[in-house]
Amino acid sequence: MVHYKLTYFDTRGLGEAIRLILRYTKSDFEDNRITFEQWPKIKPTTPAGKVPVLEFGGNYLIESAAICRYLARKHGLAGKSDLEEAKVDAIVDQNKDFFAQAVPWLIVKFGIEKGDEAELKKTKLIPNAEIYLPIYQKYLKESGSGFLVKSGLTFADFIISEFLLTIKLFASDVLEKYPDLLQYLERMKQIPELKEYYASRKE
Amino acid sequence: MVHYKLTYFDNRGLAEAIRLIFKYANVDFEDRRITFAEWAKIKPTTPTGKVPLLEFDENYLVESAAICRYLARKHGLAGKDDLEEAKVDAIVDQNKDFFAQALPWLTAKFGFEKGDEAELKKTKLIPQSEIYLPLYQKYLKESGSGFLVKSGLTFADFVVSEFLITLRVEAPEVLEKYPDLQQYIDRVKAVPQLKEYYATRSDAFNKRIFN
Repeated sequence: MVHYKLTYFDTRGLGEAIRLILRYTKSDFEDNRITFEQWPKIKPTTPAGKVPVLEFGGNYLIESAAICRYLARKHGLAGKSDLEEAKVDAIVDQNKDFFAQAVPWLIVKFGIEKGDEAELKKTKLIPNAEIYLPIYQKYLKESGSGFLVKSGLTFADFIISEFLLTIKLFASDVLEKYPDLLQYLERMKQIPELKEYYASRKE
Repeated sequence: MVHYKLTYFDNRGLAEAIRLIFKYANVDFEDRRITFAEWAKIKPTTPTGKVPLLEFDENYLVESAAICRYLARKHGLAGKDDLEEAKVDAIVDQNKDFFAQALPWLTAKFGFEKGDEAELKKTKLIPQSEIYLPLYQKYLKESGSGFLVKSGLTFADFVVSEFLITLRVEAPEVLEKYPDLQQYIDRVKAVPQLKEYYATRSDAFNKRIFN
């Protein structure tokens, strides 16, 4: 069995979807969580100065979506046909755009940078939430599976649900308008293989 | 035979890599190019309000990288094994980050957002190019194939080379420091299946889309 080592910060962030896939698939992995204090020493040793990094068998992979897709494809979590795979990829890329737009608000909310959180929420998070959250609701409605695509759970669900959770925790008023998405988050947390993990992990 | 229809602005932008895959694979497609004025009317009729949009049979695909990967997989342009596919995906995502960082400068330069082009070039483009261009050079050096990954040409080459071409046109002094990347662009343009297409296509930004 392949032994994986995932290196990322001790937060959910861009590493959590990978952790969820590894846990869901009962893969053998070392969850190497680093601190921000350790990061300056570790950064130059990484392939491209960024985490997450997934190492296994002398190989390494970078870029969270690429890592997710690689693992997902081995475990039937990437979509059930080439068309569905492309749909999954598209949803993940749309979320990347949404996330990138929201990051200026998020880093101020998390206290990583100084800024006017209320102003950034109004100019960055909310207009983008009004674009993307209805799109996610639409995907759920169209799929009929309870997840983002027709065949069921894919890595797109891990990525999107993690970001929705962040919005729920840090801007709950924004997500409240989307009861389907709130239910979707609960549905994710009830996945049998992951129920215990979700219940015990810190958010 | 599948009839593909690609809708995008009349520019290279985020669709050119898709066009290159079709041309490389010698697959016919309807290359629907629109202006901004037409876009205002078309936008509400699209699945997600964005282009590029690929339609075929009763299906549609959005998101440029997802469309590229879907087509690339059918034509041996996605990487030769699962590890290499993940490497190709990673390079494409890294370029997406680079592009996103440079976008404020680019949109100011093209004239469709206000902004101090020189200031944005200094604060947005140059620091990011100092991170990503050496990385691309490293990939080329490590692959040994002349392209970004070991097995040869993949859709990552179309995505990355198109952005490098934009830099060469809009900020040539930035790319001048990277002769390997200059040669790489020329190498992609010399790919036999695409040589003629590249020769007749313009690299410059087409301002007529504002009409």
